Amino acid sequence: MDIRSQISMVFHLDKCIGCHTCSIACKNIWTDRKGAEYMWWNNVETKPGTGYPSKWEDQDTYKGGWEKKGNSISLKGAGKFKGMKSLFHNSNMPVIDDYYEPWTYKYENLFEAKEGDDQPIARPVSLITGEYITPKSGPNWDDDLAGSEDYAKNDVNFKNLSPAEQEAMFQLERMTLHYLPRMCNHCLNPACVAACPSGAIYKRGEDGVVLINQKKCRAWRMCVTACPYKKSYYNWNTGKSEKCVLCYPRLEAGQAPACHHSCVGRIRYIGVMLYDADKIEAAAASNDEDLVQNQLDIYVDPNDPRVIAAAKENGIHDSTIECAQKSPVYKFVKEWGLALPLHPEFRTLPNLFYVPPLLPTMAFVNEEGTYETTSENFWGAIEKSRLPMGYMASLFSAGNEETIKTVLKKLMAVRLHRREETVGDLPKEEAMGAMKDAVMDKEMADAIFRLTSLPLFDQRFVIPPAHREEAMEMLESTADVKGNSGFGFKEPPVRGL
Amino acid sequence: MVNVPILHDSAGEVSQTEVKDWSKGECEPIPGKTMHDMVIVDRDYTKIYDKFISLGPNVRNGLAAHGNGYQCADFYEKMLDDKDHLQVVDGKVYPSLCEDEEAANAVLYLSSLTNGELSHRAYQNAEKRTGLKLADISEGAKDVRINYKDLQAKIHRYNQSPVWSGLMNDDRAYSAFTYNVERLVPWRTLTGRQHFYLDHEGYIKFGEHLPTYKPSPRPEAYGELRKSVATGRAKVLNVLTPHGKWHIHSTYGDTLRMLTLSRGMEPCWLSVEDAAELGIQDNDWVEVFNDNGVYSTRACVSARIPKGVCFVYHAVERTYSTPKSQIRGGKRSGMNNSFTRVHLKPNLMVGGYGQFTYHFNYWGPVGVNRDTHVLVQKMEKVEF
Repeated sequence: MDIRSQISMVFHLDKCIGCHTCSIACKNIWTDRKGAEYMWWNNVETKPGTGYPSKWEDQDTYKGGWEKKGNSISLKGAGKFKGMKSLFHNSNMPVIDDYYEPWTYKYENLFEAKEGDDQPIARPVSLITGEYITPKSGPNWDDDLAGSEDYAKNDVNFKNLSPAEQEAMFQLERMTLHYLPRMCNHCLNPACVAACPSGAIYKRGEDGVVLINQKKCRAWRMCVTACPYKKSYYNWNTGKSEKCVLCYPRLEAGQAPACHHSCVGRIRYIGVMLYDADKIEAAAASNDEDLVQNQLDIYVDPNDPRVIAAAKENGIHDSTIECAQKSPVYKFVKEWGLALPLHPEFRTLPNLFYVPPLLPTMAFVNEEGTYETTSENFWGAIEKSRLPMGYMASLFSAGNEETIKTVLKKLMAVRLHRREETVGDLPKEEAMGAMKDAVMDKEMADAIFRLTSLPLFDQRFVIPPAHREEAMEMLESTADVKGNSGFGFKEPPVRGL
Repeated sequence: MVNVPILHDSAGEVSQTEVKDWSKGECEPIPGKTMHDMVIVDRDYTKIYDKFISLGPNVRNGLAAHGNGYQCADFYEKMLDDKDHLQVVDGKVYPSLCEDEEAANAVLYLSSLTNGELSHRAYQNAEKRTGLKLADISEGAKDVRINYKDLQAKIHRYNQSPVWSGLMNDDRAYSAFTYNVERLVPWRTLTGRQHFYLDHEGYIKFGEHLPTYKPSPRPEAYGELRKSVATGRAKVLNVLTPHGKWHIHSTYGDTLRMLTLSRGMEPCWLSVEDAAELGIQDNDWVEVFNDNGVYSTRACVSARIPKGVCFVYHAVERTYSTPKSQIRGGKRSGMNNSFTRVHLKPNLMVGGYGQFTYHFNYWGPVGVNRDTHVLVQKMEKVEF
């Protein structure tokens, strides 16, 4: 047992309203700089849709993540031989048009235009070339099924759906959508770290935050290819790659990352997970259908005395262990089994878990073509879901539909129980039956309800003290890093020997 | 002299129980009773700016909203004690509204929501009007004063006030009409209750005395497509102008963040079927026009939109990204308010009848969010 500590996250998708406040908080703090204009370390996508960068989930194109090789795994798009081959041209990287060409407007024209017959106008100009452009794509171009023929219909997750199932998803009375906020998953098995030829990317010991050392980065951009979530970005101005830092300066001060803090729908939870690092390789090399369960087995019970002893032996502070015991993430992921990793088949063991959306599965159209609103059928049946199970399984369980159904049944049971408690228009047996089916008692249903619907700030964000006084960096001489200024400096690459 | 409609919260609001037209000699013209009011206002046009930056003495007569008033002369006097925030006009001293913070603080100081004493007075007045015990609601907040600096430092929960109909004691979340339901305060209607049936001649004649289904008038009935001629493949579509996702009306609509997260401008959402019929691809430039005006924008083709309908979220600013209209001979195109206009509905002009009496932004001619028809066609040439 090699117990380590990881800051992990849960996003509750039924609560996400797609407002992008998280993206804006992040953008304003971290990527409002030259060379970073096109970067959205945090973004929100409409599903179905192709997302940002477009079709990022398609690893046949981008070669991100790991693939299973016997009892082990290897990087899909990097490695010594592959790296040598693509040394001068790495064709598996998204280009700027796969993201979007960032733009602004010639606002000054509104004031400085010469007198004319018509009102002056601020035209869009490229933030890269400065030329006039008509935007062709953006970080959220397919919002709310915009351009559905070109984007939503090309969603990579349709791959295993029948043509009839796909067609039904775009019938006006049947269609649905949900939002998918995305950021760096601070994976347990990060492909970006493994792919970096310069050793610039590292997973921080004390909390598992994955960072790119801006001094060591040599612009190979292997991390851009390797990250299957496309959450490592190349800054064309500094010549370095960058990614989400989980707002570590905020974390170290006990504050939630800005995207979490600002979340209007309060969908985000953050907390400590203790895990057994010995199990990583085996879990990452599981068969597809076992990936989720084997990943969840890596996380261990923070109340188990053996775990506590092993954690202490590894130098994990008491306060961190205490936070792990109070972790809302542990509750959602392990105790209740409600939250799943996004695309576990990428095999990076992501530390951001999603409670899949139940709402789009409810409210179905009956044979008369009208919405079913009678109390007998109002709650619908998971099998009649408007989002095919195969679609959600493609997102959250590497194709295992049973995993998704189990979670949705639990979510439904909580709703039926609460409806029975607060409105009382359902037969008691129905709520009891649903809970029994979902292997859940009343206490658990109420606890899920409370942490879903009523949680206060401190219940959503349980962040341990940083203990920076014990961090490795503190052993270095501060004089060595004098003059460094974090992001924003430009260090021209040094050629030759 | 200013013409004023018969206003809500005035004696005139119960003056007209029947529809009689003074201009046709059906009744005596009596301002404020059988016809609109006429008010004499003294206005020195050389002093507009001075008025704009100072708070006038009429505040001494008290403030009111939604039929709930309170006295605040003493607080106005106290504002005059603050020597650093005054304006002197013609030798007279007034509280200053010149700086943004002064204006914000004046509002916060005189509002029942941020001045607990004023909230308490408003509830005491409400007690007098209703004969109910209500002032206990504000008892605990009498000493609350919230100013601009307080709000900068931290979010504050504002006071309850009879101006609004929610009860917020014990950290309860605001919910409309809990004041009426739980404290038995009558609704501000003729019956004092919520009611569906409108016993008024005008509403009965138009068949609007009960909320029942009525089909929308046909596009021709509005007469907004008489002169418009399409120059390309075009189609008549019903245009809807709902609230947008990326701006609050026009506010924030021109910020780079919001524009980047949307499509860089407010597009015209088209159904897949209509777009195919018109040869329009997603992101093509299109003109949305009728006799009222034109909006040139880009198309957003989506399965989300039903056939026969298009959307332009309101409210567009025509300061960015708006090309010149081809259909209007190269003049700068307009925005969503260009192709819509007010459709006056006669029963919205029934007044002097309780809750159906005019009040700015509350009761009057409504927006035309669903009742406008336009032609949509692809733009062949895009010029700025």
